[in-house]
Formats: sequence, C-alpha cells, structure tokens
Amino acid sequence: MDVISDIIEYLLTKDVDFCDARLEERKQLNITVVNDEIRAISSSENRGISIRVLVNGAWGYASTTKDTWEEIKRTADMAVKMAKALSEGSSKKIEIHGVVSTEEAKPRVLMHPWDVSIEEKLDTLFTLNRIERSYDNRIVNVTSRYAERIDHFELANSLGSVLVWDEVRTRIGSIVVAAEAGRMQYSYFHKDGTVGFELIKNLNLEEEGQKVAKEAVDLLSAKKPPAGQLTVIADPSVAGVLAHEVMGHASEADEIVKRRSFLTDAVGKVVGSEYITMVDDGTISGAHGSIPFDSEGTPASRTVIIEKGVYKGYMHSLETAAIMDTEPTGNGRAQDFNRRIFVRMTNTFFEPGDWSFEEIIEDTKDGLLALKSLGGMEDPVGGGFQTTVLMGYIIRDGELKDFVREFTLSGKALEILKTVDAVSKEFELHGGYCGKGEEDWVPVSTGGPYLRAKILVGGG
Amino acid sequence: MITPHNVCEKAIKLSTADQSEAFCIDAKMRNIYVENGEIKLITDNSWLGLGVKSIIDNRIGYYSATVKDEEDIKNVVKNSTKIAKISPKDPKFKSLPHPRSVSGSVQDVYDEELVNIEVEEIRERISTLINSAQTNDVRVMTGLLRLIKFNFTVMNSLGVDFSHRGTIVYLHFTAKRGKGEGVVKRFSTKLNQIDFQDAGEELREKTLSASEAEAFRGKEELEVIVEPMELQGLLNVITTASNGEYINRKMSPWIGKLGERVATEALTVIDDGRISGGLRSALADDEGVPTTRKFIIEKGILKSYLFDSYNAGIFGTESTGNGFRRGITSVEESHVRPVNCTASNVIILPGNKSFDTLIEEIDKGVLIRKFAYPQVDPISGNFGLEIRNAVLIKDGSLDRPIKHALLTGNMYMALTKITGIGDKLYNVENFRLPYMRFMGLQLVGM
Repeated sequence: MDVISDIIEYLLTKDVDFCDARLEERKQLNITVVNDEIRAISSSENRGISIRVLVNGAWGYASTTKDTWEEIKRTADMAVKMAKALSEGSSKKIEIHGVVSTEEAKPRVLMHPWDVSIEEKLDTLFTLNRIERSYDNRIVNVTSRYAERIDHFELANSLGSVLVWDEVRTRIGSIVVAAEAGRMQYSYFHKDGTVGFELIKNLNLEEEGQKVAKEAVDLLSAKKPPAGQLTVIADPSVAGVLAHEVMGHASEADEIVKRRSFLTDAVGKVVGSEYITMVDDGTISGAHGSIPFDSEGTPASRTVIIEKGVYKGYMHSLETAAIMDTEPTGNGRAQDFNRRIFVRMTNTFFEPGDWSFEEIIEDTKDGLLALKSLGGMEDPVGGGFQTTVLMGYIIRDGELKDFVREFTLSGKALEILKTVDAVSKEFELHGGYCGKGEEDWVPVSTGGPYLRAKILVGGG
Repeated sequence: MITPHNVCEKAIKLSTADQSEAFCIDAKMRNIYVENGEIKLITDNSWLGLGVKSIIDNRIGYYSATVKDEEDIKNVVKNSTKIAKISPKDPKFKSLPHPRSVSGSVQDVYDEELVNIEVEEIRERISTLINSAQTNDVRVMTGLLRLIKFNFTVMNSLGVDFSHRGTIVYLHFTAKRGKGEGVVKRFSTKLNQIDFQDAGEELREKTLSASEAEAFRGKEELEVIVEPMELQGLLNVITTASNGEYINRKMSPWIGKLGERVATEALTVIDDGRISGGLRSALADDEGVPTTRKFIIEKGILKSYLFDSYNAGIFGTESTGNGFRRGITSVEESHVRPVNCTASNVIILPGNKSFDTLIEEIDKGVLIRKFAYPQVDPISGNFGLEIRNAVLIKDGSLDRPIKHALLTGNMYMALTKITGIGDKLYNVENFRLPYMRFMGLQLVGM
C-alpha cells in the first residue's frame, strides 16, 4: 500500500487537479473438460499499477507491470505528460468530489476457491460431463468449464481515500451439443457469482446436467417458431438483455453528458408501464456484478433508474458526477490496470412483480414464451432491442403447447416497456461480462422477473 | 535486461517437465480516446507476460504471469509443473511441435513511425478525421485510436525458437445525428496506411444515412448486399466450421465434407499467415509452427481445415500454423491464453462485379450497412439480425434508407446462394473481403 500512497504524494507536487493510483493483482484458474477428457487447465497471475491524472479537464493514464520505484515514477510522469499535452490551452476545470474513506474490505465467501483442491474442481467437471453425456446417445459433445478469479486491489487518490479490497468470483457451466440425421442443436447453462466454491456445493449437478442435455436433445425435434408482433413472455435472461443492453447502457452518465443517449433529459418522463421498476445495484450479496468499491474507490450503491414506469436517473463515475453536479454512484469501472475507467453497470435488472409464472401463462390466450437469451448489443443512440433466444414454447389458451427452436426478438425498448402488463414474482440474475464499445469487459449480472409484453418475433 | 527471448530461455532451462513450451510477450499500447469531438484521454500501457506449458507423462499444465524479474520466471515454471503433476492424463495429446524450418519473409508488419510518434502528431491526425466527419449537426460521439507494438518469443524443449515483432493500429469512431449513428473502423499494421480524412468522410456519410433511415414495414424475401464491415461477422462461420477444434469436438456442420461443395462456385476463401500487412502475419504462429497459405474453400469446394498442433494430433495430421494467442485488435493477455486453434488472415477472393453492378443487377433488394451486431450461431448457422442502417434497392438503384428491421436466414445456406461478389477487397479485422450479394434471406419489419 505504501507505494500507492507514495505515488499520490509524488503526483501532488506536479500541479494536477486530481490523481489516483490503483494496484491490481488478478489470479485466475480455468479448467475445461470435453467429453470426459481434460482439455485445458490454465492458471494466471497478472499484476499491474494504473496511474491516472486530471489536468484542466484532460486525463492522462499510464500503467506498468514492473514495480520498482523508478519505473512507477516513470509511469506517473507519463500520465502527467499525457494529461498536460492534452490540456494545453484549456482552462476547463472538473472539480472531482466523492466519498473519502480509509477501509479494508474482505470478501464474504464461505469456501474460498484456494481452499478447495484442484482434484475436487476436476471431479465436479467430470461428474457434470458424465451426467450430460449419458443422458442420450444423440449427445455428441459436452464441454464443461470451471473458472475462478480472485482480484486484489489497493487504491489511493488525491481526495484522501486509501482502500484495500479483494473480490472473489466463481463460475461453472456447460455447452451440450446434440445431433441427429444431419441436424445439430445445443443448449447451455452457467452459474456464477461473487462467491466461493459454495456455488458448486449448492448446485444440484444431476438436475442441471440432465436439464441442459434434455434441452439440446429436445431441440432436435423442436418446431419452427411463429413470426410477427406477438405477446411474448420474456424469461429473466431476456428481461436482463432489455434492462442491461438498452435501458442500462443508455443510462450510463457518460452517454448523457455528451448527449449520445436516447434517455438524455428523460428524468421525470414516463418510459414504461407502471409495472416497470429498474435498478442497478452493486451491493447485492453474491451477485456476479457486485463490488465493494468501483475502480475509483467509490462504494457500490443502489441506483433506481426507472420507478413504476417513471425515469429517475443515471449511473455515475467521479467525472460524470462532477460534470452533472451530483453524487458518484460507484459505477466508474475498468476492465483491468491497462484500461480506462468509465461508467459501467454492476447488477442491472427489473424488480419482480406480483404475478406467479403460472398465473402469467394461464392468463395468456395466444403468445410465445422466450427462453435462454444468447445475448444482445447496446444501442444507446437508437434504443433498439434485439436478442436471439435458444428456445421457447407456443402458448395457447393459457397452456404451454409446442416447443419451438431459436428465434429473435426485437423492437424499440420504450415501445416494448410501455406494453408490459404482467411481471412475475420469480426473479433471477445471470452473471457474465459486459463490453462497452465492443471491448472493456467487466463482470456484471443482468436479469429480472418474467415479463409479458408485445415484441416482434422473427428469425425462426 | 529482460527480453522475451531470454525470459523463454530461462523458463525452458528451469523446466523439469517431459516437454515444455514458453511464450513471452513484451508490449506497449497507447489508446487515444475521443469523446464528444475532443480527445479526452490518452493511456500509455506496457507489460511483459510469460506463459509456460508443461507436459509430464501426458499431463498438461499451463501457468502465466506478468514478469518483472527472475523470481517471477521461476514462479511461472514451478506452478506450471505443479498443475501438470495434478492434471489427469490427456490421451489425445501427442507432442508439442517439433522445430520446422522457418524461411521466407513477411512484409509490412512493423511500423517504425508508430513506435516513435508524438502526441501532437496523433492529435493532428485525429483532428483531420473529426473535422471531415463533423458538420453542423453531425457530431463525433466516441473515438478510439489504438497503437500497439509488441515482440514475442515462443520456445519449446524440442527446439522450437521463434521470435516476431509487430505493430497494430485500430481505429473505431462513432458519430450521431438525430437518432442515427454512424460507425467507422479501420484495421492496419501501419499508421500511414490509415487515411484519416477518408475515415472521417465515411463516418459523416454513414451518420447522415442512418439519421435519414425510416422504419421498415412488412416482410420480404429479396436479394441482399452486405458491406464488408458487417459481412466479416457473418463469414466468421467459415472459420469456425473449418476450425480443427470444432471438427474434433463434432460441433461443425462441415465434418466429413472435405472435397464437397459448401458454397457457390464463385466463392474462394484462403487462410494466409504471411500476407503483407496482415494483422496476424508472421513467419510462424504462436506455437512456432511455420505459417502457410491454404484454400479453405476453392470455387465453392471445401478444401481444408485449420489446425493448431493439439488438434492436428487428434485428427492425425500436421499443424497448419493456426495456433494463436494474440488477438486482432489487441495483444493484451496473449500470455494468459493457451494456444487457440483459429484463422490467421482470411482472404475472400474478389469477384468481377463493381459495387454499382452489384446494385444495378437487381430489381428488388437491400444494401446492409450496419447490423446491431453481426453474429451468427456457428453450430446451426441461423441468424436474426437487427438492421440499424440499410438502403433499399429498387430497379437497380439505391432507394430509401431503412432501419428497425430484422434480416433472417441461415448462413451455411446463404453461402450456397451467393449471386455476386465485389471486385474490391477491404480490411476488416483479420479478413480481406469484398461486398457480397445473397439471395434467400428475409427482411422483416419491426
């Protein structure tokens, strides 16, 4: 920690408006088992220091993986040089303000991955592989993966914060491929979180493995889905794409200050039906996107973005909070010590409602249940929503009928949200990594309840 | 002084495994970010990373770390060996690559100018782009210019010893007018090969077109021309379906189809690890296996699969020099990733139709300029992609710009229904590809 504090003292002699330094150590273990055989065990530890300087509204960043004082000083000088070169002739000032604290935060995990033998981790994957492969002789390939990532951070800044914290993430998942008569289909599952190996101990491998294998096999005979503007019941993974990719990215304040987002000036406006409340919350225990502090040292918080259909506000970094004269929300995040910090989400989701899943199905005369999103893409400018889902069911007269294969959902997010008329009590968060501008990956989770809305269906 | 070569030498010397491989990369990266028409920040990063693969009695371990001194090298070797010892045997592993003669040369993969460029010069070039893109109502919203220089060594205990240095230039800018957004990207190994004026003009033109687009209504099957920037994402199915790992895992629809027709006769696709100025060009791949030029598809016939050494061993053949750790637009964490079987540089041979001819020849069609994200399910080939900017074609001429529509179809099917290939190639990531025209795809209004 000393070197991080020392570098701040050094930078304060350089006539800068704000500076911070962050040391990051990331240790990862990845194991892949394919068809009952080991494919790869790889482990890594990366360590680097990132230094950031603000001068007259311009930022300079520099990072290094070497930790001699001379090298760190050279890196600091480079950050100052970059910021000063950019700010030449500028009189713009950004008055950074934020929570100042001195704290050491330990992760709350029950079974730290380092306390579990690699043999046990391997045994879990082999067991999962066996369950999935033995389900049906049409299963042609099973790939199971385990990943753990332990991050250690030390941060100091010119506001006076001195912070030390760790983050622990564990993940397991499988992709199962089935084939028959020249047709090929697959399904997947994954579980993850800011948790330790208890994630896997609490998992019913038999149930998860059989479920995903059954889906892959059943998809071989699944029917073609209908197309057109339909009543769709979106599962939590689809709801999560709508929350994160469209409404979430457009609510990141860096998109607001440059007026790129379709939600610029939206505070106070009705953007969805009364059933819609949307939140970004980095404090949820165990969720994959949870963080004690963001990469700027601001404690994570809960930001209500939409409340009962009314748009409430944005997520902030230190910089956007200063520009918009509000408080930072703990959303200034960086992929790693090599990358910039900008506004990023944590756990972003729609709040659950009062309906049970069964009640929504029973209440739907004609519709389509959409299951297992394969992801989506941000559209902060246009507010367009698109996701492809792996499978679904046609709903007729309140009952699930035909099982259907892959289809695409799309439309304008605001139009879709205004048609939401039922929201389930059942609620799930799904973890993953979010890129912004096609890169800068940070751990997040997305999700919500089952939502019923009018959505365009195509691509089946 | 710590260099990738002496780090690898030390790692191989320290290793007690039956076989061992060391990959070390020394890289510097500068990212220049633009926000709202101004350069917002510059990052300056440097790192040295080492990855060591150890094989003990067919048990494989891989460990990697950033390296600052000899202790770190010892730590990587020790942990790699430790993982190998506790790993189950991999009966499919045959051997690390044996040394093969690496001869010939690759051109235009290292840019001295990029290494020495000053901030002021960067600022001038970016200003050129911004000024040519912006008008009264077109604003550059975001921009990234990335400059990378790297050198790496890969060495193994069987005698492979290969070093390479390269540079990467990646440019990605967006601009906005009303509710329309334009995107421009450029990929190169040399800064001077990027025309900032041209990139700015393209960005302005795309932004104006996107802002004038109107929602498409209805549902039609029509001929579709796809711009190279978006086509690359669709044609990625060719490199996954021919990928040795997908073949061995039985996840490719092209298993057992060597020598069979998979596309129209007009389509020829080459994987070339040595093409001049290619982002992945080097005399050898990231395992030290000499790179090659081979037909993946020749006149519509599937000619070869791509292999790294591991997957070649399973398939009972030789590596084709397709084992890579380096990314396309960045080399970050190259040392963290064990070798991945993937394409080097992909060339789609040009056809004989000019852009104008591609349009003039159809009565009813659409020119796709921007998808939300051009992603195809590599196993089934199915896609349903949101169109963010396209132009309808009517009676051989460009008609009105549209958005809010889905293009749906199956890419493996579409490869057999190519009706025209453009006569000019464009660099998109590690692809060189032309405009391409397909039939049998459906446009659905949102």
